[in-house]
Amino acid sequence: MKHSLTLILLGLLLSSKLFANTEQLWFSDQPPDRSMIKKMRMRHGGYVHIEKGVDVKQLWLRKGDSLEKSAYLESAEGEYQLLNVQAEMNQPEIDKNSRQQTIRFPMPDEGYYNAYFTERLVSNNTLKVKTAKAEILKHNCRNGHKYDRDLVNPQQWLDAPLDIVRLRLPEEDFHTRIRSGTTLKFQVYHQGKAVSGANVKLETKRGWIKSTQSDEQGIASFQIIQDNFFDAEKAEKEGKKVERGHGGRVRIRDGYLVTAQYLSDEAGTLDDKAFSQTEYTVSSTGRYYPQQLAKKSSEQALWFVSAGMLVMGVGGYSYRKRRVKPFKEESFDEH
Amino acid sequence: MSIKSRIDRVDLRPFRFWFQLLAFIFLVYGGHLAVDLGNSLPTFSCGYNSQGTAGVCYLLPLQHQLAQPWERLFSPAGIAVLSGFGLFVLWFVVLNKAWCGYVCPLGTIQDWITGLRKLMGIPYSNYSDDHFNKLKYIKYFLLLALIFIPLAIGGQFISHDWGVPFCKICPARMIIPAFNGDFSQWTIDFSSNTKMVLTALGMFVVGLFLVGSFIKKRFFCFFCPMSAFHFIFSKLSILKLKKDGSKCTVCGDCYRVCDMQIKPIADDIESVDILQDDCILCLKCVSACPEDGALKVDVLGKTVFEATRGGFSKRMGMEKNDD
Repeated sequence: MKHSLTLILLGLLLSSKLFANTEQLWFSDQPPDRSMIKKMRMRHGGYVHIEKGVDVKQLWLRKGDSLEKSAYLESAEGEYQLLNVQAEMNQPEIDKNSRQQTIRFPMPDEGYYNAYFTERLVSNNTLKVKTAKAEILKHNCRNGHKYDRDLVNPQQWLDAPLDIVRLRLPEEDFHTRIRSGTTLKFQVYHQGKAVSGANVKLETKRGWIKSTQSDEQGIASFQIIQDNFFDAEKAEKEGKKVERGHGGRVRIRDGYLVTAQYLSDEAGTLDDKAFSQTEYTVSSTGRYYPQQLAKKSSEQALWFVSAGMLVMGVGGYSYRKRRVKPFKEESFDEH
Repeated sequence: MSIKSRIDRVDLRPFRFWFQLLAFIFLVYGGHLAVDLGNSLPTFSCGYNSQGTAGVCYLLPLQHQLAQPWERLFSPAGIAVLSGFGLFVLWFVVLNKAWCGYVCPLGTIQDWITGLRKLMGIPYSNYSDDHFNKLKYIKYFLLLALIFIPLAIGGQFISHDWGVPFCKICPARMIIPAFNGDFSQWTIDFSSNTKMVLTALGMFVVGLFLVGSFIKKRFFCFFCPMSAFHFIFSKLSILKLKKDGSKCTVCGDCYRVCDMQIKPIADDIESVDILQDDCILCLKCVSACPEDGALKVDVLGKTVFEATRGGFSKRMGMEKNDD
């Protein structure tokens, strides 16, 4: 018994150690200055600026494992890249007026845009290649809802040092929300090839962490926790302050940060510093929402349909009965 | 015989049956073939039928757009609301209220339920004149509610749980997706008291709809806010229903065949533009009229279908006797 407990504790320790030395780099679309949100517009893919009628996305580079507390980077040495809907690779504009590391890019077309930031540095004889990835949806309901599957499916950067791709849910479209309890699948690629045995970790905003390894096809699966979401109404009744977005709407959702790490024996030199192995990491974020059917009942619905039918049936019958005029025979005395 | 005479003698029932069936298939399943007519259709092509719909009923985006924060709604961004509305009017002017009588999937379902009642030999019901005149205002009340409730959401007077209030109680939300095997809307949402009340009311209305359409022709159309919305713009349409009172004998045939129980179609011999707010432009009145030119349908001022003695005789099966 003692041995098993020791093994479990050792396992837990090791799994957390897998990412212990790596503070993740990741993109956030939440501005460091919350008042900035008032000037932005909420779209299906998060907050955007509107410039000359075109949605312009702004992303900030952050470092750390916590979606809540990670710092906004003020400087970063690396390369930004943008994969647009047409699968063309471009350089996004770096906002030089901002104190933080932030990029902006227009999203004129419907579909997914992928932004990347890659940092390379040698430390402890290891080349550390860290990639922050953001997958951003551009969709406006005015453009209709006939989804081209190529636009719904994920884009892939074939030359990515390490890429993590969220595989789409069956029947996923631009309105699909990831719900608590859903199994999410991520595929890890190293320079366009699926990587097996990569360490993949998912951490929710609330701190739930799970780690696994990618299988032969490079796929790692996580069932998103059946979380208890923030009850804004209850909190307000208790006198707590609730932060509301545009129009007073409280968006009940949570976020996750998923990170993949892959160690290779690639050796070489970078800026005259030799390294004997290479450690690749990539991080990406996503959102999830409460389970849709958790608070819905079809049984109760059928009771209400039946009640409606009964009321209409009885009401209609009695209305008809009341309107039947008794037969009155008129007779004339012709004599 | 000229083409016009042939059209005037046509039996409208099979034509309408097939037209409605094709329109139903097109709007309810067309989405599977990537047909997309946009979000401004003046008919109940339900947006909740997400996989199959070939276009979305305008009432859904209208309520959605009006619920925007006022500072955005009354800013240049509000142009999107106007452009959606402009498209709605453009669609509408083509067919006028024939969108109800020939295209609306929910209307077609009611006609099929009526057909079932006929097959079973059960007589239909009508409202008394008194009840008719009182109940006809419900659709205007619903129209005002579906405009002002979203505006109140945008002004932060009421909760977002009231979002798209009419869709929550519209039977199309439940019934039309069911034709694609999607029963996900047949639920009561207990996530808030408002949603619970609205979704429960919606399910209750489905019950009323199913039995109501069985005993009263076009039961739901009488309360339909889209019908009220149509009537506001009906003068703009290129398709018009006209009456020549001097040729009308007030025989009442047109009233007797009217699914919507519209009395002025027979009684009113003054008005030329005879279209009423409850009319679904099914044109049964025109085909049942025995008087030459008493009722007619004009497109851009040109008569395309009119009542004729010959047409009436043919449709009534009296042609041989006439000969």
